[in-house]
Amino acid sequence: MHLLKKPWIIAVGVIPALTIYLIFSIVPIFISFYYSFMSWNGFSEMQFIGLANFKEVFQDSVFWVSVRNNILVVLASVFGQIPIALALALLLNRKIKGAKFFRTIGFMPVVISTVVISITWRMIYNSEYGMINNFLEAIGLGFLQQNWLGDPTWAMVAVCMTIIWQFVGLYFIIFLSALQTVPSEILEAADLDGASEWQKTIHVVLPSIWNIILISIVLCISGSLKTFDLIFVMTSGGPANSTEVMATYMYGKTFEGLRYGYGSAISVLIFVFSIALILITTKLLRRREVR
Amino acid sequence: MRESAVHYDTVSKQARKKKIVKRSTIYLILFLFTIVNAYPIFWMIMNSFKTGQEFSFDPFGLPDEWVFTNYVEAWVTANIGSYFFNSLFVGIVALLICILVGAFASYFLSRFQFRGRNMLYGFFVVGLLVPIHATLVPMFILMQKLGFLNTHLALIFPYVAFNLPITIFLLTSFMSSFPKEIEESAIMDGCGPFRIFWSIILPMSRPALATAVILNFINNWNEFSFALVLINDKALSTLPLGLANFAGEYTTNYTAQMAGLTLVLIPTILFYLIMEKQIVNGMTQGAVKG
Amino acid sequence: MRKWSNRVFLGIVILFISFLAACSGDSGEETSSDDGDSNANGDAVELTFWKSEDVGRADYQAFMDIVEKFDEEHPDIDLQVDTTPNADYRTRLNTQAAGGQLPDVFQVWPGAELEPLVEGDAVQPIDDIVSYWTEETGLLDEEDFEDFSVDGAPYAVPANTNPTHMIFYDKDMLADAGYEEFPTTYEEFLQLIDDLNANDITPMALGNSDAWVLQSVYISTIADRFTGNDFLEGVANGERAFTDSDFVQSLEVIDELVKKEAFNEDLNTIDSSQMIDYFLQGKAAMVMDGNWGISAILENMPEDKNVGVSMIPLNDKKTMSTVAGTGVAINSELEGEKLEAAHTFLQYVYNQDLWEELIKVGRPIIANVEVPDDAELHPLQEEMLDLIAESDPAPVYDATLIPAVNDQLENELQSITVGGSTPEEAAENIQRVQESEQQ
Repeated sequence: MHLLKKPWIIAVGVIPALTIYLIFSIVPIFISFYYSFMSWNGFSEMQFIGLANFKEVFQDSVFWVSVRNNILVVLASVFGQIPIALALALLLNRKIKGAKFFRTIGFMPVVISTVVISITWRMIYNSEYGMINNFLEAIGLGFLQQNWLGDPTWAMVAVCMTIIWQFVGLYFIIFLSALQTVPSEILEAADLDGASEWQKTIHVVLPSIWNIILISIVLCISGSLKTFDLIFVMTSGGPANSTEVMATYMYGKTFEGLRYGYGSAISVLIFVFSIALILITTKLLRRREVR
Repeated sequence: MRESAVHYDTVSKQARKKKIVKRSTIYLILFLFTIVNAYPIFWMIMNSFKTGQEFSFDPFGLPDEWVFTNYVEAWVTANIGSYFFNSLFVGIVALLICILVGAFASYFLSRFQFRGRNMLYGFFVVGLLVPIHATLVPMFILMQKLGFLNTHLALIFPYVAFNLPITIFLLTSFMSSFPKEIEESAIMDGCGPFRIFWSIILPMSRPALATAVILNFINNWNEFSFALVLINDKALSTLPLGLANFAGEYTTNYTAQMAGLTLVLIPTILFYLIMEKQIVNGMTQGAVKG
Repeated sequence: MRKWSNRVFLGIVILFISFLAACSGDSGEETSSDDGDSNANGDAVELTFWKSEDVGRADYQAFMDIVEKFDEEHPDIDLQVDTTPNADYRTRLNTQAAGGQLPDVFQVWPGAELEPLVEGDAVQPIDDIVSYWTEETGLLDEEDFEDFSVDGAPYAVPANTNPTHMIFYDKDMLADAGYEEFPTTYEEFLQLIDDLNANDITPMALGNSDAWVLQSVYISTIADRFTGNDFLEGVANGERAFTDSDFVQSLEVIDELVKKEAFNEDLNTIDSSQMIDYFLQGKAAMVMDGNWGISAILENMPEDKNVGVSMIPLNDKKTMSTVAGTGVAINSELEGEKLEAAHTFLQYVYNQDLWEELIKVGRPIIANVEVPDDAELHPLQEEMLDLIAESDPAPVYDATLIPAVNDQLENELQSITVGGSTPEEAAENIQRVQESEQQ
C-alpha cells in the first residue's frame, strides 16, 4: 500500500462506483426504512405510527420462526458450502482428466432455474416415490424414511440441503480463481523439500488463500440471510410456516398482505441482524488471522 | 543388489496400487457429484420433449416420442426472440459498467492508504445485505422521479448498484493480496497510478475479474423483480419475465416452460465456459504480460 | 498491454455516448407521455388496460379475442393492452399503485381484495353505467354486482362465477369399491374412504403445498354447511367468532379426513396441478378442486377414464363456495373523454358475445344468456354446470377475509394436516389474528 500525494485521484477512482451505489441501493433501502414507521397498504395515505410496527414484529411468533430458520440456513451454508467448495476447488485445480468437464458440472446448479431445481428436488424428497426414500428402502434402511418436505421437523433440513447444493458452485469458482494466485515458486520449493500433497495444501495453499476464504464466509452469511427464491418457489414457507425465512415472510407481508410498513420493519430487522452477524464473525475470524 | 531391487519393486507396486485406489475414489466421488448436479438439467431437457399428457403421467422417464413443438411454443409464449436481445443488452451493459467502476474503486481501496478507507470499504460491503424486495417500491418511485421508468436505464443502474458490493468485495481482496513490490518498480519508472492500474493490477486480477463477470452476468440474466415492476413496455422486457408466462392461475404449461428454460440456459453455459478459461489460465498469462 | 487499455478506453467512450443518447431520448419520451392528450395518433384517446395473463386457457383467450375486436372496431380509442404473468400481476399492480401510477382500466379481484383499492381511492364506481346491463340489455341483475360492490357502490362488471368446490371422481374405481353412485350422506362418504383404503387406493388426491386448496376448495364449503351463509359477516362485526363450535366442527372434518388417511401422504409437498395428475394417473379415486380443475382433467385424461363430478355430502345442504371471477375496474383519476372511453370499453366487452364464448368453453357464467346452439360441451362439463345450477352459493373465504386472517387460516389448516394444531387450537389462533386485525 502506498500513500498518494494527490487525493483527488482517489476521488476520481472511487466516486463513480460510490454514486451509483448510493443512489440505487442505499437511497431505496433508506426510503424503505422510512416506511417502517408508517401504516400503509400501498393505496391509502401513509400514516405515521411510530414504532408500532416494530413492537408488533417482536411479538410475532412466526417472525421468530423465520429468524430461527434463517440462522439454520446460515449455518448450513457456512459449514456445508464452504468446505465442499474448497475441497472441490483443490481437487479440480489439478491436472486430472476431465477437469474442465467437472468444473463446468460443479458450477451448473448456480445457473439452473430455481423452478427446475425446486421441481426436481421436490421429486427427490417426495415421500411416496422420491429417490431418497427409495434408496433408503433399497439399502435396508427403510426405517429412516421421512416425509422430507411435508413434515415440519424435517422440512427445513431438506430445504437446507438443497440450498447447500445450489450454491457450492459459487464458492467453488471463487476458490478456483483464488488458487490461481498461489505463487508457483513456493509450491516448487516445497516439492524440492519433498513435501507431500497434503502438507503443501495445509502449509502453503490454504494460508495463501485464507483471505479469500474469509471473504467467502462473509458472502455466504450475507447471501443466506437474504435467501428467498428457492424457498419461495419450493415450499413458499410451508407447511405451516415451518420453512419461512425472513425474506419470504417480508415479501408475504408486503405484497400479499399489503402491509408495506410492517414489511419494511421486517426488512430493517433483516438488515440490522445481518450487520450484527457479519461484524461478529469478522471480529472472530480476524482475531484468528492475527494469531 | 538383488535384494534392493526386489524391495524397490514391492514398494513401487504398493505405491502404484495406492495411486490407483486414490484415483478411483476421486473419480467415483466426481462421478456421483456429476450425477447429482446434472440430473436437474437432464430432467429439464427430457421433459421439454414430452407432451403435456406424458408429463403428467410419467415425469421421470424418457419421452415416448420426441415433441419438438414445445420449443416453438416456448419461443412464442416467452417472446424469446425479442426479449433475448433486451436481456443481453441490459445484462452486458450493466456488467461492463459494474466491472469497470468496481475494479477502479477496488484498486484504490486495496492499493492506497487514505483516510476513511476502511469506512468506505465497509460501506460498500453493507450493500451485500440489502434485501432486494424491500427496495421494489422505493426503486419504482425513485425511477419515476428520475424519469427512467420504462427505459433500460431503470434496470441497468439497479443491476450495477446491486452487483457492485460483491464485485468490490471480491476484487479488493484479490488486489490486496498482491505483494506491494509489483508497483514499486513501476513507480520508479515513473508510471502514474492509472497506468499501473491498466497495465499491472488489472491483468493480474484476471481470474477474479472473470469470476466477478460470471456472477454479474448470471445475476443480471436471471433478475426478475426489478424487471417486473420497472418496465411496462413489452418491447423493453427481459427474458425472466417471458419465462413466467407459462404459469397460469391454476395450470402451468410445464413442457413448454422446460423448453424455454433450456433455451435460456444455453447462453449462460456458453458464457461460463468462456469466462472459466480466463479464471484457470489467468495467472500465467497475466504474469507473462505484466 | 497498450492495445488492451486502448480498447477498454474506447469502450468507455462508446458507453458514455450511448448513455447520453439514451438519456436524452428518454427525457423526450417522458415529457410527451406526461402531456397525455397530445397523442401522436391525433384524436384517438389513449386507454391503458392491464390484465393478468393466463396463456393457453380457453376463457382467457375468449376474453382477449373480444378485447382485440374492440380495439379494431374503435379507431377513436387507442387501447394499450398490457398483460403480466399471472403470479406476478399483484406485485406489479401494487407497486405501481404505491407509486401512484395505476393504468386507466385494470383487472381486479372481487371482495376483500377490492376493498383496499376503494379505500385508497384508486378506483371509481361505475354506478352511472350499471343500468346498461340491468335495464337496457337485461343481461345482468342488480344483485349480480354484489361481489364487486363496496359500501353499495359497484366497481366492476362480473363475467363468470368461480365455484371453488367440486369433487371429481373415477366412476370405475368407485364401482370397484361397491359404489355405483356417489355417496349421498357424510357417513356413506366416510365409509367410501374406508373401503377405498381397504383396497389400497388413496381415496382423495390433495396438493396443498400452496396452502390455498384446503382453504378455498375445502373449508369455504365445508364450514358453510355448519355455520350458515352469514357467518363471515358475523365474524366481521364481532357477533360470531372462529372459536364458535360450528366453525370448529368444520375444522374437525379436515382433521378427521387426515386421520382417516383420506389423502395421499405427500399432500403438503405437491401442488394443485400435481394433485390432478395423481387423480388422472389413477393413484387416487377422487380429487377435490375448483371448477377450473376440469380443464386440466379434460385435457390430459386418458380415453378410457370415466370421470364424474359431485360435491361433498355434508349436513343436508347443497351449498357450494362461489365467487365472481376477475373484473375490470376504472382508475379513479379518469374523467372526460377518457372516462367515456373506459365506459365504452366495459360496455363493449361485457356483452352477449363474451358470455356466449365463455359458455362455449365450459365456464359457469353470471348473465342471462342462453346456451348458444353451436356450443359443444363435454358431458363432464354439462354435468358440472348442472351441479352448479342446483347448488346454492356460499362465500369463499379468501375473497371475504382480511388477507392476514386468511393467511393464518391457511397456515392453521396446514398445521392440522401435520398434527401441529388441534382444531380448537387452530380456531383460537385464527380468532386472535382476526381480533388484532380489527383493532
